[in-house]
Amino acid sequence: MNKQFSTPQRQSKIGVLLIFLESLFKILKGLWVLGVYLLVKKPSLEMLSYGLIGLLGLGIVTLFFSVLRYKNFKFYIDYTKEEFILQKGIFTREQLNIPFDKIQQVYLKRSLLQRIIDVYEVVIDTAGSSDKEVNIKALSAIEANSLKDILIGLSLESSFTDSSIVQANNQKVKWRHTLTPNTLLKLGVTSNYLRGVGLIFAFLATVITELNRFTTTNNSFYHEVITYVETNFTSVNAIVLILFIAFIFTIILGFIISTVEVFIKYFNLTLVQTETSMEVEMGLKTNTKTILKPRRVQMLIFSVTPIHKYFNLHKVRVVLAGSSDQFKQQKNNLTIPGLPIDKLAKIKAFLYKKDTETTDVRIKPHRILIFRNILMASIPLLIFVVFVYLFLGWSWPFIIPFILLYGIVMYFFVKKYYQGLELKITESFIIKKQGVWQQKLKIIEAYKLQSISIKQAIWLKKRGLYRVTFHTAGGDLSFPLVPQKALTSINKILYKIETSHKVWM
Amino acid sequence: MDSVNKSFSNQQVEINLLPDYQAIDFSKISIKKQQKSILQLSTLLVIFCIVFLVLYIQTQFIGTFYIAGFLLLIFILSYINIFLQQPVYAYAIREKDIAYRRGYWVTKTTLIPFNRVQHVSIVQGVFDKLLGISTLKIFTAGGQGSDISIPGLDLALAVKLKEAVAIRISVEEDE
Repeated sequence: MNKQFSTPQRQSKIGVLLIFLESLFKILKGLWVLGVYLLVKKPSLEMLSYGLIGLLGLGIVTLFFSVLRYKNFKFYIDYTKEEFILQKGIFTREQLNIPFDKIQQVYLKRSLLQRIIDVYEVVIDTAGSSDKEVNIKALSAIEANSLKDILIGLSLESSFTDSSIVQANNQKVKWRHTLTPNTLLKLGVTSNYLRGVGLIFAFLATVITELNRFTTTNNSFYHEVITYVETNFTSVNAIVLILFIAFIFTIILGFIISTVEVFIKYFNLTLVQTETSMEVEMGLKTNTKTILKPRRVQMLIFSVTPIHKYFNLHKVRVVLAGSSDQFKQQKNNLTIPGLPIDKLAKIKAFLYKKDTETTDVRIKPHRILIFRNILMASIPLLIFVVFVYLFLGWSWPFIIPFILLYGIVMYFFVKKYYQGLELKITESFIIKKQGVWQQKLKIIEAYKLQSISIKQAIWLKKRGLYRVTFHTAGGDLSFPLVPQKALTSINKILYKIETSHKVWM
Repeated sequence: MDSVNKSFSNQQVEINLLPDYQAIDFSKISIKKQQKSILQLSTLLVIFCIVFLVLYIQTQFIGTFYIAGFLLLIFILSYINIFLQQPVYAYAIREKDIAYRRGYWVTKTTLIPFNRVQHVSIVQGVFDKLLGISTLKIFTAGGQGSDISIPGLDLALAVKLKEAVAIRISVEEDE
C-alpha cells in the first residue's frame, strides 16, 4: 500500500469557501448590534454607502486571511515517528503532533454548510488534555474516509503491540443495523408519554385552581359556577367541549414536537460492526459518525420501558472516557435508541468479549431504604400542601385527595424502586440494576475502575451500612446501604484492578 | 502489556484470603491540621466581626445582631466540627494502593490503586507554610469524586509519600 498522507497537504480547494464563509459569519455575528443601530437610526444615503464600502473592505480582508489560513493549514502522517502532524496559523505558526497511541477517536461530521458544499469534517479526539482536539474542516468524501480509516488503523495498531489486528482498511462488515423511518416514528410517539403526562397534570392543575376561585369567594359553589358559565358561555356543554379540544390539541402538539426531535437527532441511524470496530452514524442536521473502540468504553447502560419493550425498542448508552471535567458533556455519551434485543446482545458481545451472566455476588440494599425514600418523597408533598393552602387558598376537601393519591402512588413507587435495585458483582463486571418504570442496567468492567469510595453516615454506623461508589473515567456508579459483610467483594475488585495490565482507556 | 510472563502462575484466588481493606492499619495525620483549620476559621471570624461592626455603625439596624448571632452559631458549630474531624483523618499506603479516610458525620474512605494514579502533587498554602505542613494530592482519571487530597502532612513526609507513590506508578508503567 502506498503511504497515503505522508506528505504535507492542504484541505480540499473548496475549503477556502468554507473558511471564508465561516469567518464572515462570525464577524457579521459580532456586528449585528451595529446593524440594529443603523436600522433604528435611519441613516443617510451617504452613511449607508460608507457602511457598504466598509463592509466590502471587511469582506476582502476576510477573504485574504481566509486564503492565508487555508494555505497555512497543512497536515500529514509521519509513519516513521508514528505521529499525525498538523500545521496552522497565519502570524503564529502552530504545530500539533499527535502520537498514534494518543488518538482516541476519529469521526466524520457535517454541518449544513459543509453538506451544501459537499465536504466532510474529520475530527480527531485525543487522550489527555481536553482541548487538544483536531478538526480538519473540509475534505472530500474519499479523502475524509481514507484519512479516518488510516488513522484508526494506526491508532489500533499502536495500542495492541501484538499484531493480531488486521489492517483497518479492508475490514469485513459483520453486521449492520439501520433505524427505519417506521422505527423512528414509533420512537417519537412513545418517547412522548412523560411530557404528555406532565401536560395533563399542568392542565388539570389550572382547571382546579380556577374552580377553587369560586369556592373561596362564595359557599354556594355550584350556583356561582353556573351563573358564571351562563353569563359567559351558552351552555356547560360548550365549556367542556372547549376544554376537551384544548386538551387534545396540547397532546397532539407534544407528540409532533417529540417526533420531529427524534427524527432530527437520530435520522438514518446506522450501526456497522466490522472485525475490530463499531461505527455509529446518525443525525439530520449534523451528521456525525463515531467509531467505538472497546477499550474506550467505560460504562454501558441499557434502558427500556414496558412500552418500548413491547415494541422491542431498547436503548443503549455508551459512556466513553473523557477528561475529568467533561463528564456531563454529551460528547462522552453516545445514545442509540430503538434497537431490537438481539442487537443489544451483539453490541455487548463486541464491547465485552466475556460473558456477563455468571453472578458471584448479589447485593440488595438494606430495607431502611424504603423508609428513607418515603421520608424524602414526603418533602415535596409538604411543600406543595403548604403552598396551595397558604398561597392559593385551596380548601382541605381539595387537598386531602391529593395527599392520598400522592401517598399511594409514592408508596408503590418506592417499593418498586427497592425491589428493582440490585448490584451484581461477577468475575469481571460490576452490574447495577435499577428503575421503576424505565429499567436500567449499568455495566462496568472491573478492571476499568479508577478508584473505589466507601461512605458511611454516622447514624448508619450501628447498622453497619455503607454507600459504595465505583469511579470510572466516564462517571460514577453508586450503590446505597450495602451491608458490611458484602464489602469483601471490594477486596476482590481491588485485586482485579491491581493485577490487570490491560489498557483501560 | 499482556505478554506472557517468564514466571507464569495461575493460582486460584480465594476471596477470603485476599488482603482486606477493612483491616488496614491507618496512620493519623499531623495535629497541625487542626491548628491550621482553627487559624483559618478564626481569620474568617475576625473578618466577619469587622464587617458586622462596620455595618452596624453605618446603619444602626438592630436586625444586624440577629444575623450576626446566627452566623456566630454556625462558627461555633464549625469549631466543634474541626475537633470532631481531626481524629478521623487518616491514610495508609499498601503495596498496590493507597487508602484515605476523612469525615466525622459522613466517613468516606477512598481506595486508589497505584496503576490508576495519573499524577501526584504537593500543595502548600499560607497557613501550611506557617505550620510546616502540606497537602498531598493524588489524581486519577475518575474525576473529582475519585481524586484525593491528604492534608496535614509534614512536608518531609509528604515528599516521601509522593516519591513512594511516584515510584509505584512508574513501576506499573514499565511493565
